Amino acid sequence: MDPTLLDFLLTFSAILWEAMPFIVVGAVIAGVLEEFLPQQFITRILPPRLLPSVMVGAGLGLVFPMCECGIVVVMRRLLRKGLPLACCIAYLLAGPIINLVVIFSTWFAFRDHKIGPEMVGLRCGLGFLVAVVTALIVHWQYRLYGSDLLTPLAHPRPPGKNNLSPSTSSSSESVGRRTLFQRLSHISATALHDFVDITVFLILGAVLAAVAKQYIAPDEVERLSREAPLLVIGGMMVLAALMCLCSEADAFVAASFTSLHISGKLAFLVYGPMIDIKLMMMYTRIFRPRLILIIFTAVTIQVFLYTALIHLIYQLNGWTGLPG
Amino acid sequence: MISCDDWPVFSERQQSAQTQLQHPGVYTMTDMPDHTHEHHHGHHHHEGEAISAYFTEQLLTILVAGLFGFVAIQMYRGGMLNNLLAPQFHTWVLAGGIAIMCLVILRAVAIWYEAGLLQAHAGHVHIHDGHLHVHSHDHHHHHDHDHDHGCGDHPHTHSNKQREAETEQIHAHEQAAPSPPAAPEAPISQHGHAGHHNETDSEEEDEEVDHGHSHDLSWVMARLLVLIFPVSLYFLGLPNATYSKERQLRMLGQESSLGAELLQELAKDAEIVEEKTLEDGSLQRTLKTKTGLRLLETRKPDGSQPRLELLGGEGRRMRFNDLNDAAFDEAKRQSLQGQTAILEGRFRRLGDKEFTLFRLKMTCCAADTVPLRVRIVVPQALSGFQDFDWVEVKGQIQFVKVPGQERYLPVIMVADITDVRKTEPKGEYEL
Repeated sequence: MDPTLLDFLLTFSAILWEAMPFIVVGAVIAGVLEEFLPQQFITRILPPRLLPSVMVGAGLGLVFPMCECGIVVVMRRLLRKGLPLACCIAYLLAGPIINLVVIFSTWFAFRDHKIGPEMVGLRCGLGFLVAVVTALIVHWQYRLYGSDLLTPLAHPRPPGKNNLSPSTSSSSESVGRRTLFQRLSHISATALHDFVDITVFLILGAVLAAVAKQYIAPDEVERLSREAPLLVIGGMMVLAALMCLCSEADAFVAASFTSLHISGKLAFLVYGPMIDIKLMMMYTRIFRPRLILIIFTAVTIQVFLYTALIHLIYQLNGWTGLPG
Repeated sequence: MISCDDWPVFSERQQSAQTQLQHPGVYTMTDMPDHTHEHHHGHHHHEGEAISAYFTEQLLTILVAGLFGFVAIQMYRGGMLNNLLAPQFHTWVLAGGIAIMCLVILRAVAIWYEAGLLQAHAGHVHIHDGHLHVHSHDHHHHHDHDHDHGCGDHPHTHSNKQREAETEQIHAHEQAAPSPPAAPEAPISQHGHAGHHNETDSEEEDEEVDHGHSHDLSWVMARLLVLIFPVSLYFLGLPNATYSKERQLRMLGQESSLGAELLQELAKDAEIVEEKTLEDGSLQRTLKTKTGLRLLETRKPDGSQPRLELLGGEGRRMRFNDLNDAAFDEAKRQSLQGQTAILEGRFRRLGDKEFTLFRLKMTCCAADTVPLRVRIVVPQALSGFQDFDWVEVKGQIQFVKVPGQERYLPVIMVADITDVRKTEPKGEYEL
């Protein structure tokens, strides 16, 4: 068989089967949340003011670590349960970066390059900043357009019409009467639905990513970096979007670009977990195209600006930004 | 449960003429605001179709999810994951497969139970787009399976009172319209959802509605086809190897030769460890360079160019990972250089006396594969080796600064050409 086709199938299968277990985890969590989490419960425990609640959302990954694939599945259910959209965006974007597993793997990947703590700090810091600012932008848009930004399945249920409200006696009775079998049946139904639903788009994303990967040579990006640093930041962002790496693994790939300036690596590491082909396909199951475009634009511009700024700071201070 | 947001069929077609009112109790009734609930009693033709479509679709979901789980488990057992994922993720795939199988079994039992219910209540059952509703006139029975409905693929029973209300009111909620998987950015439309009704979308939607069942089934079929793709790959036994040679060469990229003068350069600052005169009058000195390289220098009495040889040694097996990591660390470089290493990897010729030995490394999955390489310098011209041959090499470790760059390259200086020999193929990946 044609080796190019086999390479394509290998990349495709690798991305798919790597993400599959985490989609299952996400789907089971989604099923359990759907069944047991009381409506509007999250709103009650979140800080009432916008900025603190968004910041809590961005830092939530430290408490509930999830990779970017699983997060998408869970988010849709949480949105339905009344999690504010801005919070959801903050967690969605920052969660895959600001969690202990990823922090450790980032530190580990750059440990021998002597820039471990630096990379971890900058990656988390930028991830947090980008997530919070994007969440605030989304919040502003949400006030303009409301739930039209979301796909129907992600619409929050109107307040007051939840299964805990005493307004309808029949339902509150039924909650207590549900048998274990019924509960399991519901959980399995939600989980299977979400699994199949998201997996379809994961597969499509993996196909696109695998096609794109056929045509990129990371080597050339690295060569470019010595000539045009600003161009390379953009180049690394494109690379991150096309490669669809798991946020646990991308630090090792970034570290393999040994002669790349730290700003290029950061662009790769901050952008990748937020925006990539596979994620964009999966986002279509929660967000309408308009919202996806908003997120995409906000994240892209910010990551570029911040990493360019960091490049400038390194240059002004005479730091090489290269492994010792 | 797959059906809730993707089965607009039944109601959409019937919906257009009806007034859209929001049923106050609907959220609590169904737990799902995003579905169009219409209760059409007497449309038995549609009901029958709807029910069979509902079961078809449910069974297909169970089938395809079950296949997915089966393939995940089989890939773990058959070792097919070795080319795809790093070992720490193999167990995850197995666990994921088992979890899906459990869900599938649970779901199958629930569907079987629903089917049983369907038979028992023939004539009182209908589908509200994805929800199987059993209308019982029997109040006792009603309590047996009341509110057995999440996203609606569960049997419902309604009290007579509720039914009266339902016959008058259509619960039109929004609903995901079928959007073909190839064009997911196509707007997913809303339907008459009280509160946020989207007019532009509804217009588009009306056109879609005309396609009726066929359109919707084709959407489900399209999704199933997408899901079947990776499953069928497994049954074809693909992918069964790592990246092609062309791809590996591209990963390795351009490598420039360090040059034949490397040994002379490294020997410049050597200090003499031992000195002796041989029988033929030539002077033999054992040298040790600052980089830890142990050399044997022979000067003939005729004053010709001295001959430099590397000293061999016992050597120990080392990993590409360790050598590559050490290249970034001054202390590690110091401690490793001069040691004799034995390394196995694939061959890639760079020159007469120089080649790259490489192995692949993956952190999580094949998509993050990077080549790990060590430069090998041999004293005499090397022949009989082809690119991608598996080769075992023994020699002294050095770290050489890459010209024009701030990084070091691990190099193995081979004392004798016999220290390079073909070996049995190993796993592609050094883990």
